[in-house]
Amino acid sequence: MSDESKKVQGASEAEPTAAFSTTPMWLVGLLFVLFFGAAWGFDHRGGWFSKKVYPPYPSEDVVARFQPPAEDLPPEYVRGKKLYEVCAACHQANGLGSASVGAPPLADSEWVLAPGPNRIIRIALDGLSGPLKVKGQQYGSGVMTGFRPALNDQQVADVLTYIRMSREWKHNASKVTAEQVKAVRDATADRSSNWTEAELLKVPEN
Amino acid sequence: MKSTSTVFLAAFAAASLSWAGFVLAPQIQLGNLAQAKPTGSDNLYPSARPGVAVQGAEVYRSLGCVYCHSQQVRQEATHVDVILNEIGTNRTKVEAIIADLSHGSQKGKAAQIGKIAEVADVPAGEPLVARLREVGAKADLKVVATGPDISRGWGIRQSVAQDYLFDRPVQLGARRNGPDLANVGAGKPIEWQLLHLYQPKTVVTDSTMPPYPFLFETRKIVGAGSADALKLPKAFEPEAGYEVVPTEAARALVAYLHSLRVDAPLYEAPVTVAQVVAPISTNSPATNAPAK
Repeated sequence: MSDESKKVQGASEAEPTAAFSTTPMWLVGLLFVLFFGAAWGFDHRGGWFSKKVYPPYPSEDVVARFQPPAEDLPPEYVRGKKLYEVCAACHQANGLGSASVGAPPLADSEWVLAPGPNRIIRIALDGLSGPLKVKGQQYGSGVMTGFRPALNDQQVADVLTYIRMSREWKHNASKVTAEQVKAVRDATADRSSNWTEAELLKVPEN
Repeated sequence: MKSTSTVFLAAFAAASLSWAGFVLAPQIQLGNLAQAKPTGSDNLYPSARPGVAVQGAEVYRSLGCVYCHSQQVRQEATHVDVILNEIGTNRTKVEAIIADLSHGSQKGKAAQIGKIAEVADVPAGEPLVARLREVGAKADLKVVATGPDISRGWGIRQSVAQDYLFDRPVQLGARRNGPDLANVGAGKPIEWQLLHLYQPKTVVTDSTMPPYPFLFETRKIVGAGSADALKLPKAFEPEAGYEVVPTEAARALVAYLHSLRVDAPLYEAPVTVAQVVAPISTNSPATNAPAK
């Protein structure tokens, strides 16, 4: 550096010093407020850390507003679906039955989708002893127990309504009412053995 | 040192705060994710991959597919379409409602089956469906996710944490030299995938993906030849008397690709799934370019 510039500098400005000075408290406060506000806004937009909220949805309420409307299922269908869990032990939740226990399929079965529920009410009440032909296939000597003492009329109607109308199996047959079940229960009150295919085929479908 | 304890405490605070933010908070938020039932279904989601697909995930990992392919569909918005399914007998009243919906622009036009309005959300659409039901028509609400990834045909909704439940490690990917693969299992048949791995240009003319011929065996045809041999186009055929058959690694990789699906309607990613799956075109874009 030349002498001249040194002189000019020295004349106009004081030598800078490195002195200790505290950070102003207002700056600390401002940073705190900004950080807090940013975090609050971030959490708010993310639905308060909810695992049900992903962008572009800002909150749980908004996600809830995009849920497809619940299907109008009749109450007997809903109750029957719950009861079917017992049947699913052999007939399976998908209604395809189980060859190992000799349970024929219910899904697409012509017995289930018959115009009337006369025959399946009888099967549900007093059970069935094989052999049985379903969907053109012969099923062996599987035995289904009757549910006459275990289920009341409404419960039998509910579960049969479910298997006749099951959305999962794309069934669309008519409902079964408790009155229909009661009529069959009274008509077959003295029955003490399982039904067989030959006996059932004599019962009118409607 | 004068302020050992201060330095120690400050360092401890910095380390533990970032640990809380990056490890503890996500663990609290997502650590207890389990299989859940998608909307309107009784099957748990996601289902675990079959064994061969788990092996395929390792092949995917070892080949570094993740460096060019992401597995995350993004979504920008959601809206709800009102779909008219059945007009019923009272056509004039239905047409009046549609005209009303469109603020007069549809006035005098014949009612048609299909989308008749777009609304902000489900509660906004429900009164419309009720009004149409009153006059004997049938309408449905369809939740539609939108965004560039979705319009490219890479998925029907965004990916969420649930989708990666069985991925170890999660191969999210950060670059998209090739298309996103999150929902690739909904697409091409196995034969297409095998051809594409052997030589991408056989099925996508302008593909920039490298070929993976080492996943295949070129061998002499014995007898009638293998039933699994690739049906290659003329230009890519091996010399006469030879055939190209996939190895176990290629099969596993394709099984893994087939297991990649993000199209179940979840609560956190609502979407209406079409009943009928449209046939898949084999002519989808190989790059980031939007579908035409």
